[in-house]
Amino acid sequence: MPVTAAAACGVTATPSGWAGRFQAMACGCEVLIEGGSAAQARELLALAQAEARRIEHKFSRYRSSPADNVVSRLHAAGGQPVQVDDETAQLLDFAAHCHAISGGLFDITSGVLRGAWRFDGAAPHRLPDTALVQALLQHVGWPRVQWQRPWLTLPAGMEVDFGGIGKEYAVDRVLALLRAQTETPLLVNFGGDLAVSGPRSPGAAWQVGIECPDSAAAAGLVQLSAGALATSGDARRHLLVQGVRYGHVLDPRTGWPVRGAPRSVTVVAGSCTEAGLLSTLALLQGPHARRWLQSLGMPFWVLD
Amino acid sequence: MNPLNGPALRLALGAATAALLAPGWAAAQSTPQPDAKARGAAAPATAPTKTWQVDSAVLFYAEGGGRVRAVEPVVSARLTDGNDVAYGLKLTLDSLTGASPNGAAPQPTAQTFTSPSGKSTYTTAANRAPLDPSFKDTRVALAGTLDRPWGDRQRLQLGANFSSEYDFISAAVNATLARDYNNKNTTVSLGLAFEADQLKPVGGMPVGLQPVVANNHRVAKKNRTVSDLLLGVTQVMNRRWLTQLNLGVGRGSGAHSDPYKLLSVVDGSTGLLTGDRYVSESRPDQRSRTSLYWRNLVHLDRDVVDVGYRFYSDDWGIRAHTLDLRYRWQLAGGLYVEPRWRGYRQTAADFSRGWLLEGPDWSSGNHRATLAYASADTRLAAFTAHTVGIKAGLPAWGGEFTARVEAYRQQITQPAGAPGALGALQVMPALRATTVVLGYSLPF
Repeated sequence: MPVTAAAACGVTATPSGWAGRFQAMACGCEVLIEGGSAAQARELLALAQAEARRIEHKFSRYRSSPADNVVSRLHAAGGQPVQVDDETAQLLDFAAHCHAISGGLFDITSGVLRGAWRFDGAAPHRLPDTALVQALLQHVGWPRVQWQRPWLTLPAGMEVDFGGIGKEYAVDRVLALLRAQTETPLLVNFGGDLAVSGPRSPGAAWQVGIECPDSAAAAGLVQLSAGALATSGDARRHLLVQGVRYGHVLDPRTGWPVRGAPRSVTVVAGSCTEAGLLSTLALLQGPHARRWLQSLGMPFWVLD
Repeated sequence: MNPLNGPALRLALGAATAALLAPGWAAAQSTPQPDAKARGAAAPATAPTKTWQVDSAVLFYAEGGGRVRAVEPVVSARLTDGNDVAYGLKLTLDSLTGASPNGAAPQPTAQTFTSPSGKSTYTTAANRAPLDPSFKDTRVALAGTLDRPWGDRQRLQLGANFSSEYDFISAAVNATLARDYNNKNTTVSLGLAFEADQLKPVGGMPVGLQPVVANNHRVAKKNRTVSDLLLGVTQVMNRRWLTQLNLGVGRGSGAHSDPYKLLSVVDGSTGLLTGDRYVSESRPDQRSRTSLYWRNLVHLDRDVVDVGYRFYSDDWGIRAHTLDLRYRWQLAGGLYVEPRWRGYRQTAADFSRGWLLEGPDWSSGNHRATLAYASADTRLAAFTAHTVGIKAGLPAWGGEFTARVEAYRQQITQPAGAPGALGALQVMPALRATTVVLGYSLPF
C-alpha cells in the first residue's frame, strides 16, 4: 500500500496530491504538494524540514549554542563588533529598512521588554512596574545598534530577536527552495503563515481558512492563487486588568502594549515576509488598524 | 524618521523584501540540494530573481565671475540577474554656457577678439584676463557596462562609452579582469582602456603656433587616441581597514591642442601687444601619463574615514599631488553626513607660458616661433586648489536621497618675469567654482 508506506515517512495522500507535516519553530508546519509521486513528495518534505530547522537553529533566540546560533553569538559579544554571514546581514538590512519605513514601530531590539511583560495567561493578571519597563527601554532601539554590514555591534544589555520575521522568512525560503526543485503546485504553511507557488491547478485557487482566535470555526475563507498570507495577534496571549485588555504586541517606543488593537490581523501580500510585517504593523496602529490597512490597498481580515 | 503609509510603505517594503529574498547568498550556503534532474523529478522551474537599481542625479556647476555654468542630469540603471551578471546603462546630458579664459594676456587697454569664422567678436575690458563668452555646449554621453563572474575567483568587467558634442566626439571601450586571492582578502585587477576622439571645432583646427587671422590655414578635424593600462590591488588589512593601490599608465596620440586657446605676443619691455598680437597654441602630439593612487577606508565603530592620495606625472612636465579626505558620519535612521576636503598641487607643463615675447619667443617678421610648443591654458600652469564639501544621504521611500555641495578654489602661480604692464596684472585668472549634486537611488 503506497499510502501507508508514504505516511511512515511523513507524507499522506490527499485527493489530489500529498501533504507532509513536521514540527519546527514552535508550531505545526505543513507542505501541500499537488500531484507527483510519493517519493518526490518525501524528498520535497525532507528539504522543507531541513531548511526550516536550519533557519530555526540559526536564528531562534531559544538556542544557546553560539556555535551554530547567530543570536547567541551576538548576545555573547559583550559590546564587541561581530562579523555576520551574508544571510544574517540580509536579515539585518531588512530589519533596518523596516525600522526606518515604520518610523521605529518595527524594532528587532524590542525583545528585552519580555522581561517585564508575561502574557502566559498565569493568573492573576498584573501590569508590570513602570520603572522596570522604563529601565528595559534603555536597552531598546535599533538606532543604538551599530550596523555596518557585515559588522554588528550590539551595546551591552541589548538583544536582537528575529522572532518577528523569522517564521515568515522561513516560509518564503522553503517555498523558494522547493520551487527550484519542482514545477508542481505547492503550499507551505508554518503555523498559519503560508505562501503558495501559484494556483493549485490551472484556474483553481487554494482555499485557505482564517481561524477565529477563540473558536475552531473558520472566520473567513481566502482564495489564494499567488503570494502569501500571514496573521498577527493571538487572543490567548493578553492581560486583562481592571477590564482593560492588553494585547501581546508591544510598542518598542513606549514599552507598553498598544491599546485598542484588534485581536488578530491577517494580510495577503506578495511574500509571507511582507504579509507578516504588514499584519504586525497593523496591530501596532491600535484602533486605527483597519483604516491603516485600507490605505495599503491589500486584502486583509481584522478580528476585533 | 517619519513612518511611511499606504502605497509608499508597500513599495518600500516590497523593495526591502526583494533584497532579503534575493538568492545572492543562497549559492554559498551549505543546505544540500539534490539534483532534481538526476533523480528524474520535474526540472527546476523558477526563473532567477532579478534586481534593479536605478540612480538619478542632477549636477549644478557654477564658476565664479560669470564663467562657465553647467547643468548635468544623469540617469543610470543596473540590472543584476540571478547568475550574478550585472548590466548597466548610464545616460548623461550636459549643458554648458558661459565664458572661459582664451589664453590671451590682459592688457591696460580693452581687447577685441574675432571668432575663427570672423562672424562674431567680443571685447574684454582693460586689465582683465580675456574670457571667450561663446562657450556654449551640450553633450550627450551613453555608457554601457557588463560585469560578470568568470570562473570561481574572477570577475570580468566590460564597458563602452560614447559621447557627443557639436565639436567633439569620443568613443571608448574598456575591460578589467579582477581575481581574488587569499580567501577574497586580496583582489588583483588588470584593466585596459582605449579611447578614440575626434575634434572638429567651429572654424576648423588651427595649425599650432600660427598668427590668429581669419583666413589662416585650418584643418576641418583632427583625431586623438588614448590607451590606458591599469593595475590594481585591493587588500583587506584587518576587519576595519581596507586599502587599495592603483597604478595607471596611459598614452595619448594625436591632437592635444585646444583649438580655442590663444597666446598673446607682447613687447619684452612694455608688456603691450605687438606684431602678430595673437597666436594659436601648440602642444605635443604625444602625452604619456603615470599615476599612482592609494586609498584607505577605515571603519570606526560607526563612522568611516576615507583617505586617498594620488600622484600624477606626465612627460609634459606636470607633477601633481592630490590628497582627498572624507569622513562619513553615520547618524540614526540611516542618515549620514560626509564632510570632505581635497587638496591639489601641480607643477606647470614645460611649455606653459603666460605670453610670447616678441623676439626671443616669436618673430612677427616671419610669423614664426622659436619654441616648439606653447600654451597659456591655466590647466597646464602651476597651481594649487582646495575643495571643501559636504554630502548627506538619507533613506527615503525605499531608496536613498543624497545631496552634495562643494566649493572649489584655485590659486595659480603667475608666470615669472612679466614684462612692463603685465607685471601689475593677473595674467592667469584663477578659478572658483561651486558644485551642487542632488541624487536619488532606488533598488527594486
